[in-house]
Amino acid sequence: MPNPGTDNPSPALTPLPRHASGLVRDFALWDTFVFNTIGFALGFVIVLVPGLLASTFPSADVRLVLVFGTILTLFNGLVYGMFGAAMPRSGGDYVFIGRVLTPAIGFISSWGFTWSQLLGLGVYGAWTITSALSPALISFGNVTGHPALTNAGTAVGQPVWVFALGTLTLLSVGLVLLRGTRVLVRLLDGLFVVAIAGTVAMGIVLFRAQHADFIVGLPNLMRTLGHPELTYGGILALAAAHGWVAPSATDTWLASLKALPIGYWVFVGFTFSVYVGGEVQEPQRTQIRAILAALFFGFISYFFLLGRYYDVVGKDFINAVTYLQGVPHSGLPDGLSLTVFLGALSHNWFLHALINLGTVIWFYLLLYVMAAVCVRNLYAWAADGSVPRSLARLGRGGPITATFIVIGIAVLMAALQAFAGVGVVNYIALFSLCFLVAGIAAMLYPYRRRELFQNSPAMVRWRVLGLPLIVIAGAVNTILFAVVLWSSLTNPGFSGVRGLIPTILVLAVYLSGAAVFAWSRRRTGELPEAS
Amino acid sequence: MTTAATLLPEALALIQNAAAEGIELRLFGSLAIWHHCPRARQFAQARWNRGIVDIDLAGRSSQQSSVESLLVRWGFELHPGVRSMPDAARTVFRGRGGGLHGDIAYGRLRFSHDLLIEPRILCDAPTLPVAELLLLKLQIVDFAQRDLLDAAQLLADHEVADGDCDRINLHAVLASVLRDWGLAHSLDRNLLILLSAAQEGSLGTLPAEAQGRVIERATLLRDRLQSAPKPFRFRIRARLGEHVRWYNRVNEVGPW
Repeated sequence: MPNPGTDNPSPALTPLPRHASGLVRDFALWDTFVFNTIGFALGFVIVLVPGLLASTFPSADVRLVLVFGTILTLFNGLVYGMFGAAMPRSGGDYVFIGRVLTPAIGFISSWGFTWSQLLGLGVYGAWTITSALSPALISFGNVTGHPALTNAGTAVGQPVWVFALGTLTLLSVGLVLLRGTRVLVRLLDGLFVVAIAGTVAMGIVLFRAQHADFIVGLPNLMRTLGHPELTYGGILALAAAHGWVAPSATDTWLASLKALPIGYWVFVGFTFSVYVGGEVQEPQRTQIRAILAALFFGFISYFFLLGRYYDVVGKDFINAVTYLQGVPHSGLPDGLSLTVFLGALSHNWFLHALINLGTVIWFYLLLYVMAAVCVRNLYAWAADGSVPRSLARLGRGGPITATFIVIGIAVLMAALQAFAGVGVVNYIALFSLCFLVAGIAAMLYPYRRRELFQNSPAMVRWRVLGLPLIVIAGAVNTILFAVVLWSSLTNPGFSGVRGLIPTILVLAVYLSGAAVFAWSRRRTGELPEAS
Repeated sequence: MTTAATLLPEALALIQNAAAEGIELRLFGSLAIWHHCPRARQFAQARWNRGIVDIDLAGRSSQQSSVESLLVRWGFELHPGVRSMPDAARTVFRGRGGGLHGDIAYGRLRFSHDLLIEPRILCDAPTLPVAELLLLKLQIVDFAQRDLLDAAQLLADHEVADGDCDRINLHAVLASVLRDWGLAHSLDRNLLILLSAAQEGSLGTLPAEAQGRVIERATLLRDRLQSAPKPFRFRIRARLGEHVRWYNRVNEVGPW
C-alpha cells in the first residue's frame, strides 16, 4: 500500500496506518540537485572559464581539462555524499570532521571554509554587477541597437554603482533567507528554470553557428562597440604585435593535466547540500544522488557548451583576447566575454535576452546558496556552543542574528571589492584546506569511528577490493586538494593573488578559528556539544 | 508503560513550571484531546490505556531559545539534529536516561500542512483551543485510525459554533482552511472518512448517540467549508486539484 504521507495518497474512505511522523524537511531530491547545481553556478562558470584557462594554461584543451577534473572531482562528491548520508546535520563538514577527527579541527576547518564563502559572497555580489549585469546590458544593447542600454551597462560598472547595486542585491538575499527555507527553495527552483533556459539559448546559438560565421560576424559586433578596425585576423595580429605567441599544440595533454585545479574549480559548490543536511528529505539516499547528479549535469553541460564555444570562436582567438585584456591600452574594448561574443553569432534578440537574463540569474542565485551555507554553518556552531549561543537566535523564518551577520560581512566585502579589490585574499586556498581535511577524515572514518561507520547507511559502507569506498574516495580527495591547494599557492593566474601576504592571510584566518574555539571552550568550561 | 492518565500530570507540571518562568506552552495532540473530552474518553478506555509515549506542546516563536535553555536547565536532552535545523521551529526533547519524551512546535505547526497557531495560542489553557486541536487531527494526510478516533471524540464532545469556550470555533476553522486549498482538501477528505466510519457505526466504542453527534457536526463543518466564499488564490489552486501535490511530505525525526 502506498504511504499517503510520502507518495500517492489513496482516495479510499478508510483510515491508513501512519509510518512517518515528525518533521517536514524542505529539500526534496530535485531541490537538493538544484541547490548543488546553483552552488557551482553553471552559467556563471561558463562565462569565466575561457578567460581563466587562457591566462593560466593557454595550450590546454578545455574538453580534456573537464574530463580529468570530473574524474577526480567524483571522489570529492563521494566523500561529501557519503558523509552527508551518514551525518545529515546542518553545518556539513563542521559536523563530520569534528566527529571523526576532533571538534577543534572540525570547527577550525569549517571556520576557514565559511570565511571563504563570506569573501566569495561579497566578491560575487560585486561581480553580479560587473561581470553579469554590465556585460548583459552592453550585449543586449548592441544586439537590439539601443545605445542607452549599452551606456547603462558601462555606467553600472563604476565602483559606486557596483557597491550600491551589489549591496541591494545582497540585502534582497538576506530578506529571502529571513522568510524561511521553503521560500528559499521555491525561489531557487523557480529562477533555476529561467537560468537553465538562458543556458539552453546559449547552446542553440553556439550549435547553429560555425567558425566561419564568427569570423564574418565579428566586424559587425566590433563596429557596434566603436572599433570597426578590429576583425578576427586584426585581433590576432594586434595580440602578436603586443608580444603574444600562439601556444604550441604539442603539450596539450600535459597542459590539460596541469590545469586539473581548474577542472575541479568549475564544480566548486556541487557538494553544498551537505551544509543544509538537516533540511534534506531522506538524506541517506538524497545527498549522494543529488551531488552526483549535479556533477554529471555540470560535466555534460560544460563539455558540450564550452567545447562548442572553443570550436566556433577558436582557441587562439580566445587566448589572444585574454592576453590583450591584460595589456594596458591594448586597443581592445573593455568587457569582452563569452556572452558579448555570442552577439557575433546571432542577431535574434529573444535568444540574447534569454542568454543575458540567464547569466545574471546564475550569478544572483549563487549568492543565495553561499549565504544559506554561511548562515547554516554559523547557526550550527552557535547551536553547539562553539560560538556564543546568542548567534542562534531565531526569528519567524530562521536564524535572524546569523543572517544579519552574514549579510553584513558580505556587504563589507562587496565594498572592498568594488573600491579596492580583494586581490590579497586567496579564496581557493581558504576552502581547499577544509576540503583537504575532509578527505583525511574520510580516510580515517571507518577506523576512528567504528560504531558510527557500522551504523551508517549501506551505501556508506560499500567496499572495493575489501577496502571501504569512503577510504579510497578520501585518499583521492586528499590528493586532489593537495594539488588544488598547491596550485592556488603557486599559480597567481589560478588564485588571482600574488606574493606571501595572501598565504599569511589564509593562515591567519585558520589561526583565528583556533583562537575562537579556545576562547569558546574557556568561556563555557566545556567542549562544544559536537564532541 | 505511560498512559494518558500518567502522562497528563507530567505535562501539566511542565506547562505550569514554564509559566512560572514567563513561558507560555500549550498542549496539543492526543493527550490534549484526552484532557478535553471527559465524556467521550469513558468509551475509549482501551485506546487510552494502550499508551501514549510523548507529549506535544506548542509555544510562541519568540520563546524558542528560552524554552530550550529551560529544558536544558531542567536536565532534558535536546535532539541535536532537530536543534541544528534553523527553520524547524521545533524542539524534540527527552529526559536523560530515557524518561519523558516531548515535542514543542513554535508559532506554527508544520505537518502535512502548515498551521499558524501564534495568534490564538493563548485562547485556551492548558491546551490549544479545541478548533486547533481538531484542525491538527484533520490536516493529517496519512490519516490513521487513532487520528480518526481522536477527531471523532472531539466532535462528539464539542459543538461547532462561533467562538471558543470549549466549542469548535467555526470562524477560526474557516479562517485557517480558506487560506490554503491543500489544507481544505485534506480536511474534506478526512471528514468524509470520519462520516463514513460514523455511518457504519465503526467509531470504536462511542455510543450511537455520540456517533450521531459526530455525523451532524462533521456534516455541518463540510457544508460550511464548501459554501464559504473562496479567495482567488484558493480557486486557482483548486483547478489544479490533486495533479499537484497539496501536502508536505512528513519525514521521521531521525535518530538521536
